[in-house]
Amino acid sequence: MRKFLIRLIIIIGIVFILDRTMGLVIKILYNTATTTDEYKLNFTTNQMDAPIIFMGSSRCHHHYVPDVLEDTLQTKVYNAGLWGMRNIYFQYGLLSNILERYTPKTIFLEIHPIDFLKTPYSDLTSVSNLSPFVNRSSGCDEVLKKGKYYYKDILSHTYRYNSLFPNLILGNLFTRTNLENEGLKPLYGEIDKSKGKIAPEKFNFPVDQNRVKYLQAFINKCKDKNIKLVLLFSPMYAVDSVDFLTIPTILAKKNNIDFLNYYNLPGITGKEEYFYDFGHLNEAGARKYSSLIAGELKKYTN
Amino acid sequence: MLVNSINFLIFFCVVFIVYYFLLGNRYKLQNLWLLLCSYFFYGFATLKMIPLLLFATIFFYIFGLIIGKFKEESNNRASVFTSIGCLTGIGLLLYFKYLNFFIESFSDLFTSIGLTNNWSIINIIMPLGISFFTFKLISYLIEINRGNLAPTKNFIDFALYISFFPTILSGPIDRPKPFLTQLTKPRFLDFEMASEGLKRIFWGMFMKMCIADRLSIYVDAIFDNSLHHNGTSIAFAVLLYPIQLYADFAGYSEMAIGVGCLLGLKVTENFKRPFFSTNIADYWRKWHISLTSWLTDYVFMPLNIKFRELEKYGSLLAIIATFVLIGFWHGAAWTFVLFGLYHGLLYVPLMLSGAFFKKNKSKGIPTFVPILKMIRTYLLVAIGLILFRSTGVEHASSIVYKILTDWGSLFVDSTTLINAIICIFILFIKDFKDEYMLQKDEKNRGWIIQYKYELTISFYIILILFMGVLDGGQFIYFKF
Repeated sequence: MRKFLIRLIIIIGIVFILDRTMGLVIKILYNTATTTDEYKLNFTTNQMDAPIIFMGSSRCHHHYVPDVLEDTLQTKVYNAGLWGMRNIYFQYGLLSNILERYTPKTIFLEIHPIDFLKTPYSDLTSVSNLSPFVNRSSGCDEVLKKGKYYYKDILSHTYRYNSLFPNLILGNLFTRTNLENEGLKPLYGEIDKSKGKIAPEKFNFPVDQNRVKYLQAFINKCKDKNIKLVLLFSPMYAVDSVDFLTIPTILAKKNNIDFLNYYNLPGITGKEEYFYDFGHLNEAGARKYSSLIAGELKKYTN
Repeated sequence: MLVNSINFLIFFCVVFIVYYFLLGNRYKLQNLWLLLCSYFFYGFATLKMIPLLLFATIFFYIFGLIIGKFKEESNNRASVFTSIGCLTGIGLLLYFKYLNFFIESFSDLFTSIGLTNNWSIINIIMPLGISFFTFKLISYLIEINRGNLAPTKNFIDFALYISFFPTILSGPIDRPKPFLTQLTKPRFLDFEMASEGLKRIFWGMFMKMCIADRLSIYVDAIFDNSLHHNGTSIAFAVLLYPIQLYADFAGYSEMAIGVGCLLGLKVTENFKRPFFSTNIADYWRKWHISLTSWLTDYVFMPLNIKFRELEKYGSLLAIIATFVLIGFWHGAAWTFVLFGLYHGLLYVPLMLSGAFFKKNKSKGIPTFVPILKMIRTYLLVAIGLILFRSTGVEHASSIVYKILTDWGSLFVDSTTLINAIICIFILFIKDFKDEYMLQKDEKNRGWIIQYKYELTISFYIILILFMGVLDGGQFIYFKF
């Protein structure tokens, strides 16, 4: 029995040392990555200093072209969007981390139904990528706790980088493009219509009060720091008459902020040359969209 | 309570501490404690089914005593009671697992020939692990009737054999004699056995969390949305599924065996590196061994004797019947029946050519031809598992149709696949070493060997932390 218990203690000791060493090595790899999401998340959290930032999920990541917007806004713009169904929990944690370091002037938040509806394809697991930033801010820790990552992250430094190995290797092997320097990830190619007519995306999900609460908390955080917050919704290829954006409309009104709804934007919606798929603009579409709205966004940046 | 969860860790720590520290060498108390813990574990999973488990245990215990008594007296009624007992066990399975399947199937059949009926399915909750514990109950009676086992007079031992918590939900299906014999001896913490157990638990966790749960992200995405994916992606998912299933089920078996070792109890081995098999018969000798050996002893052998006048065609018939049963055992659906039939039919060429009777004696590193045969076996298994994984026959046929007709670009989820490939490579290396490399004498081979358990277990833990899916799902075989 004694021998077995000693063995257990040795195992715990080895695991502790290995975990801390691995955690340190992977952290270095994380910090030296020059492309992939890990780079972008790290840059956004630790280095981004633009006064105007765009936040959101993939539709933000691919739709807002900083150099086009900068021409009109006459100030530095960074696209902090990240693909992969990053819902409001993630955005709230990320904003909390950013605000620990600096305060942007204006935030444009590209809203999506995943931010206020109970969608099965985006849940609390979306905050897992914030694990490397555990203990950075109370907001980040709050969502990590909600996602049941916090205590695992505290216990194991290796777990903070769980599943990231392929990305970290790729992130250290490849370099980013100029466009990616400002956070944009353009999509190339046109929507595939060979499989028939593209129907509007349906969002028949109930409202998730928890997500609404975090959307409100996001707004409150911006108010507290005197950040001008604008909610956005960029165009879709096919549109529906059903209004699924009631919640952001109500929240915007309640908080006296603007919600710019470009869901059905003439000149873009329905034009296949501007879309990569039903919900994402391609590079040409993103440029066209950014130039179309830049003038209207200017009033929020002065 | 998942075996790879924090809840289970806490539960097991309590079991372990009381088992060795408080009860020491008082093995009867150890058995009672394990029985209470097993019922707690089962109740935690499905509280409502505790009375059923208890009732079935009491019933078979009494029947065991009766059969044993008649057997002693060489009374023919032993066989009658064995038959009644077995039919009761089968009846339990039929009622809880298959009744709705039969209702639906007959209703569909009658409707298709123009006979109207208003049969509707009954709301029955299938008890977890029923396929596993009823097989244990049945084998107990058969073994007594065959004279291989004296009925145990100790109800606690018998109840523990049926409900032993590491194996009740997903096996392995232990045979009564080896297990019950272990319960009649004092059990002390054996250093080597416990260390081996710990190693196997973490290896099982690695298989489950780093391979099965990782692959399930890709495979489930494809199979559950097969309408929206092209044939190339579906074919790729079909090729990955056998590895997912193996890692999931063998991973669970490793953990169950490991927990058994920590408690000083040897649990039946369930897998023996099945993907190094050169034909389908070889594969089934290494896959879910406790089930296949159970069915070989209690179904195939009696049928084979019954059909012996038909010579090798009789054996073939017995094999096909056994495999249809294996398929049906997995679930109440036609896909499982067809899955069993498919495997049974794969034996036809083996039986007719005589390859079935040749055992693969070669233990050296495989050359070109055996490797090709392994690939062929793997592909045959993967094709059969389309039926296993599909939600119905229609779904399975649509998958096959897409694979054959709708080729396109492969859907790639690079993070999932690269993580999975690295872990599959580690699994391959371990299985290859276990299959083909001779165990060397480890005495006096330096400090690394002295600390092999510590180093291996630590390595597995770090791998799980770095590459595992810690919030993965249930084990696939729990639903059977």
